Amino acid sequence: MTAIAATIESPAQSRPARWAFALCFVGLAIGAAWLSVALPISVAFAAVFLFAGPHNWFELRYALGRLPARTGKLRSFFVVSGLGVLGLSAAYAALPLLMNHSGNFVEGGLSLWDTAFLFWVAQLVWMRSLTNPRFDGGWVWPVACLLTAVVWLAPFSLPLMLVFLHPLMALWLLDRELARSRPTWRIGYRCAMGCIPLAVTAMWWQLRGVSDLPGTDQITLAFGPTVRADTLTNHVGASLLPGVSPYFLVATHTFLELVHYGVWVVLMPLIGLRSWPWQMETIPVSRRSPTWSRAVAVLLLSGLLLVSVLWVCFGIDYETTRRVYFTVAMLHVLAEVPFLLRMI
Amino acid sequence: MRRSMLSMIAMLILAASTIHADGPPGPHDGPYRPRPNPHNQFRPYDDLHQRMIIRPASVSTTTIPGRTKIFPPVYPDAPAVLSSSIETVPWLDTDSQLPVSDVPVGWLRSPIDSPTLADIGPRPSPEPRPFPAPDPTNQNSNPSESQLLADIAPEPELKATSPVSLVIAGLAATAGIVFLGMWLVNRRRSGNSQDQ
Repeated sequence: MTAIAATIESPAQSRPARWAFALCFVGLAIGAAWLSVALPISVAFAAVFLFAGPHNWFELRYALGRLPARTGKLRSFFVVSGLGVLGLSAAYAALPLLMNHSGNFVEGGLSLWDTAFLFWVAQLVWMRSLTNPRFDGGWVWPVACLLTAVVWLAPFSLPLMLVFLHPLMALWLLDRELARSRPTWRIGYRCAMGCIPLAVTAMWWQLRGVSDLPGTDQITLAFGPTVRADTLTNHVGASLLPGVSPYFLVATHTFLELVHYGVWVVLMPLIGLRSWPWQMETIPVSRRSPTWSRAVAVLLLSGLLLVSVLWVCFGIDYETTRRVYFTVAMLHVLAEVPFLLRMI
Repeated sequence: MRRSMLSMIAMLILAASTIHADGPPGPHDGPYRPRPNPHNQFRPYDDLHQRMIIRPASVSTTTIPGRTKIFPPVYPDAPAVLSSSIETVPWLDTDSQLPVSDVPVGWLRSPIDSPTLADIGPRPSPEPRPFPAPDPTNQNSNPSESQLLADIAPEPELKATSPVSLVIAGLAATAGIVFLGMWLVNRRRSGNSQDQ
């Protein structure tokens, strides 16, 4: 078996590697920030086109390698997780249909969805606190109730927060993976993570007075007539934040998305994958039986097929595909919550 | 032979002299006429035929019975006082055989028709154009289905929070405060019991 990740290294051996890893992360962040400021529209469209599908596939492969073969005592946790992921994703996809009715109904529906999401997360945190390593999870219910009050006053605040916080979850998961497989690298990584708020601050300083996005360029035109820049501004909530520069919002979201894609497509496979993606024996679930092994293989192959279909659809109608993708992508956003909770 | 060559050269020179500098004249090229100012609010401008509309009212205005006078052009840029003082300069006489259509554009104004200070005010805003009806044959112009199906965060309208939302938010905040108090009390009790 070819091992991608090295085995445990001595501190002296790992010192250059961990700082090289940290420098690689800083380079990724600086490059992403520069591209996001220089070409926000083009990079946003190109990044989604190139990495939306592959990063989901890498995430699926990573999750399969980390999930236990049998649920055991965690059965209730996995059941609640699965029901929440599927139910909330379906409800979120159905929410825009409510726009055919009155606006109040939409806001009420979105508030209901926000409430369900908050109490689902609270329930998962509570269940997680009852398993080892245990912690006092009593604070989660008052926090959920107070946040519920907020989302009923401002229903769009939670989806907007998810848009910006979801890319940061990849950084958290990378930190947990480093703690698991490369504990000596965490110091360098945590120092390097400081460049993220610095980059966002620098972007705000440069773009705070810029109101309009730059015009359409040749790279954007290459995606065809279905590309619209106002899709980006709506996605990052420019209409909800009238006092903030839309250029800054789009550039910040593009920057975070690029870092997020870089983590899942480059850094996480380098660190987390201990084998090649097609080696089924390294996936715990596939070791249960040949049937499970075949099911996992079919799942991964279907994922690859879906990535190809996504590329084709982006080429045919980028705008519609992007909207559909970001609705369906709520599935993987929600799936990261219980996954992250199990890694804490 | 020599005479025929000379006549041919003369014809070539004549043909070359008739060629327009910007190319041969097209079928729509008419004689040169100065392009009117379309922003001149006192001279209606016909976009289709690119010429001024000569209003019949201006033509039929008479200042002297029996003799219709046509006065020099009165431009709106000129002060109204000056325009109203033009009375007795008969530049053109409509009793002559000059047809109305050949009168130079903008010259058909009498002192009565000349603009006053009240006329020089801003033109009343035109009627608002009705919003074009959606074309049922154009699928892209109808954003109902495809746009709404996959919209993550639909563009909101800034409006006041509904009373139901306010009540639910108040209840949730009250419950949160109560739960927070209960959790803090339980935490203190458990800490005291551990100390004992």
